[in-house]
Amino acid sequence: MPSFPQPGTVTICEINRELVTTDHLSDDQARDTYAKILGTIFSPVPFESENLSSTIAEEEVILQRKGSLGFVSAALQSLLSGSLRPFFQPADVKLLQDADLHSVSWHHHKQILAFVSGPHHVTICDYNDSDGKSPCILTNESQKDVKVLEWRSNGGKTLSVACKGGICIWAASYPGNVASVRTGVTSSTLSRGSGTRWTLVDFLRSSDNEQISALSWTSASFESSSFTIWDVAQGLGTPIRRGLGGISLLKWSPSGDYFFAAKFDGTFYLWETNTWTSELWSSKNGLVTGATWDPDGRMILLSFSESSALGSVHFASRPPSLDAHLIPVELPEIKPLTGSQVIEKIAWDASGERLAVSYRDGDELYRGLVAIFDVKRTQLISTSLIGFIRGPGDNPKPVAFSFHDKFKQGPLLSVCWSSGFCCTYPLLFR
Amino acid sequence: MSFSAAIERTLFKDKDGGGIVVAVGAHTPIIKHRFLSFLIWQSIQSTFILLLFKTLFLSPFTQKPFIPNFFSLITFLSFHFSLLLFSISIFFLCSPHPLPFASPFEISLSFLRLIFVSGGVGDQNLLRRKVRVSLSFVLFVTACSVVGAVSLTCVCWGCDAYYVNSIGVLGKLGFRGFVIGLLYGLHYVYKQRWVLQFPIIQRPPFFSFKMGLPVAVGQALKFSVIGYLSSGVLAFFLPIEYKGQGSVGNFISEQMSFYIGSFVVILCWELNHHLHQVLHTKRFVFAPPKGSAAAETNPSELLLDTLEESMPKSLLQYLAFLDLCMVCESNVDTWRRAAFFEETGETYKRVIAACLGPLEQFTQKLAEDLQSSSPENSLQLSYQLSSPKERLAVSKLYESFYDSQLCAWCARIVASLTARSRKEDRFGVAQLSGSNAAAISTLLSSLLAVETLLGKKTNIQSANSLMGPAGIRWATVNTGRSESSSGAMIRIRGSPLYAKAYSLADILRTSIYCIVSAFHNEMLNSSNSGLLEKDWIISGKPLYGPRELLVQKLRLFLDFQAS
Repeated sequence: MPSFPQPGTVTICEINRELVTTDHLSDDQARDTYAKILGTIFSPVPFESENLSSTIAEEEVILQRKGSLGFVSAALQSLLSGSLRPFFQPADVKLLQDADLHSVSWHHHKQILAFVSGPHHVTICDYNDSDGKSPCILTNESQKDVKVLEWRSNGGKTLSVACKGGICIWAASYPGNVASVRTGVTSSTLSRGSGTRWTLVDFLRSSDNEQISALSWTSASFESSSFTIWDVAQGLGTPIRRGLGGISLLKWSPSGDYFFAAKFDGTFYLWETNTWTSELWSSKNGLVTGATWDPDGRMILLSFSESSALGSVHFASRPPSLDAHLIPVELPEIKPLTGSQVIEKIAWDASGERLAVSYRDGDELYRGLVAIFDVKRTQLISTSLIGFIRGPGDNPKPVAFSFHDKFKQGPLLSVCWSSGFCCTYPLLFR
Repeated sequence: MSFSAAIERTLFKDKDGGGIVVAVGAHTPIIKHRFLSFLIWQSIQSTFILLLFKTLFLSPFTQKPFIPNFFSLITFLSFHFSLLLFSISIFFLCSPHPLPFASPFEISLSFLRLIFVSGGVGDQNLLRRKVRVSLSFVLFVTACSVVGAVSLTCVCWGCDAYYVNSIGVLGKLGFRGFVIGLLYGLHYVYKQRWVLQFPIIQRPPFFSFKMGLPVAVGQALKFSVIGYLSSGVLAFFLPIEYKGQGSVGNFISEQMSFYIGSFVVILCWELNHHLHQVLHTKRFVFAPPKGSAAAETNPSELLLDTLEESMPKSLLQYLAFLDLCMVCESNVDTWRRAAFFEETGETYKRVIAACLGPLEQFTQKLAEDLQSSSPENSLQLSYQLSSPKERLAVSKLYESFYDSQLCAWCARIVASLTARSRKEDRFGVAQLSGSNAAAISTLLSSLLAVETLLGKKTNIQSANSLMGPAGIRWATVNTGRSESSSGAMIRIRGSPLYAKAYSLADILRTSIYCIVSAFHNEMLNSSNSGLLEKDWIISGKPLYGPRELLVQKLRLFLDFQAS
């Protein structure tokens, strides 16, 4: 029987397939429930959520106006900027809101959480640092319109933030151990907050001042049909172009052998990273809204904008072969229970055992929840619903969520809620 | 030695790695093969461009554009020969890493020293190499100028404005072509375009070439404008009678056809250069075909022989390192990587030794340069350098970074092999041979040396302020900020050297993190039981920095605090 949180309650964690809830947001219940097992409490981090939603609304309005002026505005823009880009610009930015914006990310080894907390700033919360649990806010004049962020693997504490015009790279500095900064980057802007100081060490400038919309240690913009692979050490990028649509999603496989790029026109490409050749796939169920690789990098799970079933693409043979099959993965409990027809975002933990799914609309009771599934990865994927997670505040909706990759005691799910809290839920079942 | 053999020896001497015979599979040397295919492709491409431009743009300026005659055949062939000469010159000049060259001042000084001072052998070899490099630059620029003169004449001669049998007209045309070629050659040498830039990712050659097309066209436009203007200005001062000046219309058509001709020629040069870079930086797989007998018995032989026996820092060796890097990092052809972990451990030791060699050389050279360049006072390396001594120190530092591409690959190879050995090393060769400790120690020493150059100083903390996960107490208030200038600190902020050092430091850091992430639990346990030093740092004297500093740095990495 899947756990269902009553309206007005707040979920704390999962313990052996049961989601524990409490009446109001506080640390006490957390302390009682899981603090003894984990040794730490993941308190919710508040942030200003109105800024986020207003930006989204603004952008939609601007784009609608743009659509009606159309060709004339494109011509003017091209004259002014001196490039032909506006003519080829896919005008489907409003679809960006449908696509998965990975705006919350856990550090791969430490318990440090970073999420987008405003249009131009990022909040970092270090749960390891017992000295200062207060979160750091990162701002910089080059960092505008932050959309996505991701921690750098094998980079110590380095965070990449995709914003307008490029990618900001932030690194942690300690007394006596200051991070090196590339020449030409103003390292004067730091972070607000106590504890570790964060320094902007690099700014990878993209051509044409585009808005970077997807990041997975490569980067892409929704305005251009190419994505850029960055060599962060040298600060050089190589653009790769395929097809004409704008790119909505990029995901690198955990083993590094394959690469997934989804476009706004409902197609997606699977690339092999040995010689960078690709295979084009197109879906009948709308564009890809979420994608997540399995821990071995042999299979990718996709959610679509017009379907309540997921799709899984399995690779038939070893890299660099691109032979793959698409197999649907049904989530049978979603439609009857919630009344929703469409899956919005998905996230899969690194051990492959828990899947978090958010869906659009739904019944009064089930609106704005995150569904948690238990996943078995024998030959094919099979899922069984554990329950739902409800966030704090009034009518919360999940804006972004993500798992911690390597937490020893079990998956850690962090959800940024539209009511202005970023909550972390330990899922303890081992 | 026959003429052709002599030519071959000159061309391929530094690139082919000393004539390694590719024993298994292809019997022809790799570089030679690629050079021949480059020559063939460049002639196809330049034919296409020439025909395209002559048809589209130059035919309005020609009386009988589409009727071939003997004259046009001659010009066509001459054009191709001149481009062939250009292609051979850029191949002759190219190198995978920058080369030290002797400035004219140095050459004259050494000449004087040779005449007036007897003995003084010392640096003879190095000087000889430097003089050879300078000579090759001069030869290249000369060849470029000649090629410019010939090809421009060939392209433009067919046009009406130039179709006069007048020496004056042709002479002026040739002179302008000469100037354009000279400027192009000087720019090519000065901007170090002869250094082969290995791309970040490997793609099929067609796509890599396609990507460079817009850039090449843009560059050609820029060069042709500059060349047109400068050659026009210089030609104005020529004392050649220009007969048949005629009407303004004639003059304009002459200038336009010249400009289009110069654009065609420079575009061919740019595309040749781009094609050359693409073909020579493509990965070559140093392995027998999968499933063959050699693949079963001795899969790594070819690669290891090339790494160990080819001429150090030749193009062939670079290609071998590139191949090794891709084998270690990706999961394609895992049988090749599995062959490194074979039971005796010899192969693994050889691979690690081959990779740590360049890193050790780099660290030693950098350590020497750092020590010698500032004993008492701190130098300020900005662009307004004052004394020749400082300039010498700077150039020495630049020279130590000439091999940074090789060092980057070696760091990545060593890191990915060590990290993967955790899961793939069935016989424990990595640990038993002590390669893990050697790898970490060398990477840490190199990183410390590069960070010292960047101005970041790490001091040894006293014993009672050991690191813990929380509550870091720093016993000494070490400035640590990059602006401090105490002791032997060299400030190179703002120079190109800083960018190179920064990128190498980043690669070394990520390599160490790669190993630390893979062995995190084991290292934490060693650290807690006080065995971190014993297990992960070599027992002898490290290449740079005291042993305690290396251990402290490793602890920083364990805590994910090194940046």
